[in-house]
Amino acid sequence: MTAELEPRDLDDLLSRALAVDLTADARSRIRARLDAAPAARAGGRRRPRTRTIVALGLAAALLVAGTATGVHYLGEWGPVDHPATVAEIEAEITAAMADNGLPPGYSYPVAQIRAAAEMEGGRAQHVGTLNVQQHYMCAWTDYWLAATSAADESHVAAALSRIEAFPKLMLIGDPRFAMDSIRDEIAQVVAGAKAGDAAPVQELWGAACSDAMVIRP
Amino acid sequence: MEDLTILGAARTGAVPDEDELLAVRARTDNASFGLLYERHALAIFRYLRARGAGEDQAEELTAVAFERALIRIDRFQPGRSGFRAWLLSIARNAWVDGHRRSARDTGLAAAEALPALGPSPEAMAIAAEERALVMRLLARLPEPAQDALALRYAAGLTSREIAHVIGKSDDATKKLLSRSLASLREAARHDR
Repeated sequence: MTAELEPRDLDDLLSRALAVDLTADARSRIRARLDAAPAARAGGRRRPRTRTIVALGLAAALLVAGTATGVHYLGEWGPVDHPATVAEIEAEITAAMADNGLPPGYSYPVAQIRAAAEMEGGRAQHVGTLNVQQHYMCAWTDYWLAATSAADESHVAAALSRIEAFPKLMLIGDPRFAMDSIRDEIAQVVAGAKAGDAAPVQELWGAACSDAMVIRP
Repeated sequence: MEDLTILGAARTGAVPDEDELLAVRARTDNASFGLLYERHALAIFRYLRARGAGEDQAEELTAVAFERALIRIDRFQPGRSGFRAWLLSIARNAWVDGHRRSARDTGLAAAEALPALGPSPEAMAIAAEERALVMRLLARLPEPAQDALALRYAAGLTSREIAHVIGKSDDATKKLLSRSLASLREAARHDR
């Protein structure tokens, strides 16, 4: 086996031989250590939970597509190539709030949205819109969960029509801002809401929303 | 420093990739760091195993590398070497530190600890034999060659990323990889 190794054979042999597995148990043990580690972060720069959750949503939103095609859209005309001013983001926020109405009595936490979208160093085209849309999704998710819990059919129906349209939001539907895996998850949320299954809707709430992100009646 | 964010990378002319975007978010968001962990844990583990760490030691050093990365995530600068190379640099340092503290666990011992890789006993035996061979041959190479080949074939880095990790120029790194492969081939020729 070792006497006549051609370059390609050697490449293959090295790739194969060094491709050891990391067991699921080992992976979990390491992950548990990391989950316990944030308190040790230098400088204690952790932000409040609400801010973190906004960042979580936008982390997903700002990811470039690149799964199937390998295209890094940002390089062409995504947010990176289009830094935005505070005024431009403000205009986006205003327009997006007008376009995305909330459930009766709900309102947008505008100051929170501005703080997240207009922070220095993170200003980019569409960030205002994406931030508003995340809050929009959270509000209607919250409304659906409350209505389902109360068996309020008319409110459930009203919320369902909005949830069914989540995939069309820029935050979800535009491949520049959401990966296919995110769209798959949202499709499960929509399917769950249609079937009256609260679990996937609750999961969305838990992953991307918090009480501080909605202002209820 | 806020300037080291996504837009900061854009100003340097580099286009941040998904990892870099996640790394920026990971400064304040554990979930983003969790995604980075899921993406790169295997590469780090494989690199450490290729360097000669046993399974337990590689697991420990993988954890150490990610803990250090988490603590230092603020220092990661998009638009430079890339997140993967940055992470491998940390893992490499963790290996060097750990290596100084513990006896080396390499060669056949590492191969014996190999988990099942194939669906059949025959495939497992072949895989174990191949790994034993490769680890034996690697052990005969100079340290820089072992390191470069582990970064290339275990961690899957490009030559440019390896250059950042080991602190050499692109050209020098390509030459190092080429020489290392030649040495490995020569070692294989004499391995009977």
